Amino acid sequence: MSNRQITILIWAGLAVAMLLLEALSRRRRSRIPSFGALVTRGMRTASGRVAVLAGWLWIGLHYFSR
Amino acid sequence: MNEKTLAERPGSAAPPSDRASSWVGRALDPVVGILVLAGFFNGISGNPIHGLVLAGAGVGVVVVPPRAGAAVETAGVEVRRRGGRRWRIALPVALAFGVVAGGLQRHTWPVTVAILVPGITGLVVASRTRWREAPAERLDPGGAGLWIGVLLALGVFELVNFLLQPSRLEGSFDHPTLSTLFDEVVIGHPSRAIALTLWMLAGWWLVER
Repeated sequence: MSNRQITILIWAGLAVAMLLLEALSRRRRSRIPSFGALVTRGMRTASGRVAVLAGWLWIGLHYFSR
Repeated sequence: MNEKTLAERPGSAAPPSDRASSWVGRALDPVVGILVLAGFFNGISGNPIHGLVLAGAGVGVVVVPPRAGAAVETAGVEVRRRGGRRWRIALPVALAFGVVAGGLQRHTWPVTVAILVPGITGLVVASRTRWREAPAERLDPGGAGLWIGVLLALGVFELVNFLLQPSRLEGSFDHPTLSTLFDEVVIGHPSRAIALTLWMLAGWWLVER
C-alpha cells in the first residue's frame, strides 16, 4: 500500500468517525452530543458566533478564491 | 409569537455580562486574539484577503457591542418555528448561488467577490442577531470529548500532511492535505456548484443557530 493510499485511508477513517459519532448522538438518551449541539454550544456568546462564521467564510475563501 | 412578545416576558432578557459590556473586556476575549493572530499569519502567508477577513472579525468583536436578547429557551422555539419556512428559501437560493458561482473560475476575483458578499453578510447578520448568553444545553464531557478528539486528530493530520509538502504552496501527491484532495475533486462546473451550494447551506445553518 502506497503512502498516498494510507493517507487517503486515514482521511476516510476520520470522516467515518465523524459520521459514526453523529449517528450515535441520535440514539435515545445518548451521552454523545450531535455536531449541531457542539456548534451551538460554541456559538452561545457573541464572540463565538463571529468566530464560527469567520471560520466558515475563511473555508469558502481558502478553497475557492484568491 | 413575535420577538417583542418574547422580550416582554418576565425574566426572558439576557443582559450582556460585565466582561462583554466594555470594549476592554471584549478585547481580552481569547477568541479575539485567535482571530487576529490567524489573520496576521494568513496575511504574511500571501493571503491578504483571508487575513483581513479574520483580523477584521476579531476587531469587529471588540468595537461592536453585542445586542442583549431573548433567553435561549423561548428564542429557540421561535427560531425553530421560522426555520422550516427559511429553509424553503435557503435551498433554491443556495442552489442558484452554487450554479452561478460554480461557473466562475477558481482563484479569481469574480469568485472571490461572489464568496465575500454572502460571507460578510452572514457574518454581520450573525453578529447582530440578538445575543443569547443564556445557560446553554449541558454537554456530557465524555461525549463532547469524543468529538473534540476526532476534530483535533483531523487538525493534527492536516498539519502533518502540510509539513510533508515539498513547499508551502506545492501540494504533495503522497501526503495530500484536504486542500490538495479538494483541488483534485473540484475540477468541473458541476462539482464546484455542488461544493458551493453545500458551503452556502452550511452558512445558512450556522446563521440559524
